[in-house]
Amino acid sequence: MDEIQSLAHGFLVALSFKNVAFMFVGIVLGVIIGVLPGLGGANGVAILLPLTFSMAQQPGGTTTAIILLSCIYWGALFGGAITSILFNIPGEPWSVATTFDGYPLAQQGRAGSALTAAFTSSFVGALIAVIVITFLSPVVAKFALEFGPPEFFAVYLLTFCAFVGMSKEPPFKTLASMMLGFALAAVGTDPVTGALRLTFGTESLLNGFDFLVAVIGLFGIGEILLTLEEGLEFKGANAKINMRVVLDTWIELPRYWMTSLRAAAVGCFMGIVPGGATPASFMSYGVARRFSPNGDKFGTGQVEGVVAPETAAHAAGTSALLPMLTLGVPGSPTAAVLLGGLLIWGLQPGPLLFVEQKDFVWGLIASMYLGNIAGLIVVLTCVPLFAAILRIPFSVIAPVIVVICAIGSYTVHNSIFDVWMMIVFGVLGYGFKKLNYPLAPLVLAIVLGDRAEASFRQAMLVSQGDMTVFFSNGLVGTMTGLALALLFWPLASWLISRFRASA
Amino acid sequence: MIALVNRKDAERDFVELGKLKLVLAVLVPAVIYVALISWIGIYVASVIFIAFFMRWLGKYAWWKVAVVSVGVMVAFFLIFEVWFLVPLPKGPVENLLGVG
Repeated sequence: MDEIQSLAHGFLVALSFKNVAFMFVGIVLGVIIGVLPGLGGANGVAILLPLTFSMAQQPGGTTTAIILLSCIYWGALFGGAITSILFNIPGEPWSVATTFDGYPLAQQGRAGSALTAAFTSSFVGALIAVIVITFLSPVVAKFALEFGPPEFFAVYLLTFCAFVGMSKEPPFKTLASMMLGFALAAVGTDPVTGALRLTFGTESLLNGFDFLVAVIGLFGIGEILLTLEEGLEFKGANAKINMRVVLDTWIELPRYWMTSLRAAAVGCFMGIVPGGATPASFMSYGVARRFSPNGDKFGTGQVEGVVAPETAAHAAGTSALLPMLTLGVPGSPTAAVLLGGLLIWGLQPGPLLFVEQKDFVWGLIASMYLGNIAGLIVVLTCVPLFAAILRIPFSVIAPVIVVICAIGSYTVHNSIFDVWMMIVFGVLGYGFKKLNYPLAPLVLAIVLGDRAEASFRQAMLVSQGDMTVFFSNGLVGTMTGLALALLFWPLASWLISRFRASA
Repeated sequence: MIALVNRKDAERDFVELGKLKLVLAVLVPAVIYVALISWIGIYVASVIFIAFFMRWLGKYAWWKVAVVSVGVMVAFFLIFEVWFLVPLPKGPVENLLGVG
């Protein structure tokens, strides 16, 4: 049991006073970020990433830095549930499904038990996902050590195609958003020859578009513009959680163990195959409704209807880190931002990380266990405090969030040009949301575009332009085949449904 | 770029005029704010930006406006420059105060 030993060592790393302190700081910041409109997991982590630059240069500092950032992520995942249940405003896209039963519960005066159920099932989902990561990631990493450029390209292709095949949005919108991301990723230095392209002679574009700035603009400024349109006031239920409510809910929860287990399975699968937390939460809600004996009462305030999406969202959000750590392929925009952090700190994500940076990897995995326990404690005890944040008038909170976004995008490269780009991306993000184009494929394409291109061209150099290299052995062939199947899945299901309709 | 321009055209059709005004009410000050950053530094620009919003949209009393806008930026100064040692763009006012 190598994993248990490594994990025990990881706990030693993560349990230093400094790391535990940053864990709590990260959780609290994360919940605040998750509660605030316009700030979410992805752009919250992106904004706070520059704060870790000097931290990461100290010995052992990268571990502290990743613990801080990943705990912000857990906090944001927890925080999304608070706004969905109390205010019927999903703070994050993955908590939309939580509003279906969470808000009715709050209206019936059962906000406390809805919140307890949401937090506890989030915790359970995350825990199951971390256990999966603990035992699966060393295997995947060992396997991936043998990967060459064609295999890596097949993994990237699988990621992109999974987005098209499994997204809730129309496949063509996903494709359009992804292609725009590729175009933006192509700007700057050619990853193979080092030549400049698409810079139109401007110096500011030499390094291309930084996806951190894109994330801050698209999700942050775009969200603020959208929130403004929907009105300036939040009206919410009151939140009071006392020990009695918590204990009563905890007694009720084990009844839904099958729902939790199914939700966690859906979540882990959707997180590892980059479907993401949002489709996972919807899918799990749908599955729970079909299998539950109270299925027809869903939507009227069923605790089970809170358990299912929250468990799945957390399981997906957590397990999205597995491909990020083992393959260097992030499963969600937030995982992509964490990956960006690793690169900036000078760590190369991928299978070698498990060989060369054992302290870092296992410290991180151990901190996932501890961080989620810390998160559960913080959210259960401080809900009224966090709910109070949403009562701050929008005319105060909106400019402060814009300022935070501006500071965040400036500090990425210390350049004002990035702040301008943030505004441009903000308008773009607003347009995307209004037209129901998904943002996640755009972000992933900006992040992975260069790397996918590099591995594609290296594979082409090796095979001298022969495309059959992507089917040259069982492994790469299976991945490419699966990717193509996922890509054409929407088309196939459309054809089948048409065929049935006409027959 | 063409896609961008087209998108803006399309927006006009699906946003009501009143709502568009609200959106522009944030967007236009935000653009001016970014222009101000390179000129007078991020701290002073942010104080003006937050104060403008609170006074104009929120109709707060002047003293509240002053306390919140300056307080928020002093907090950011302490977090970024003192605690995490991340320098942010500054202007003549910071030089006068001797922290630039």
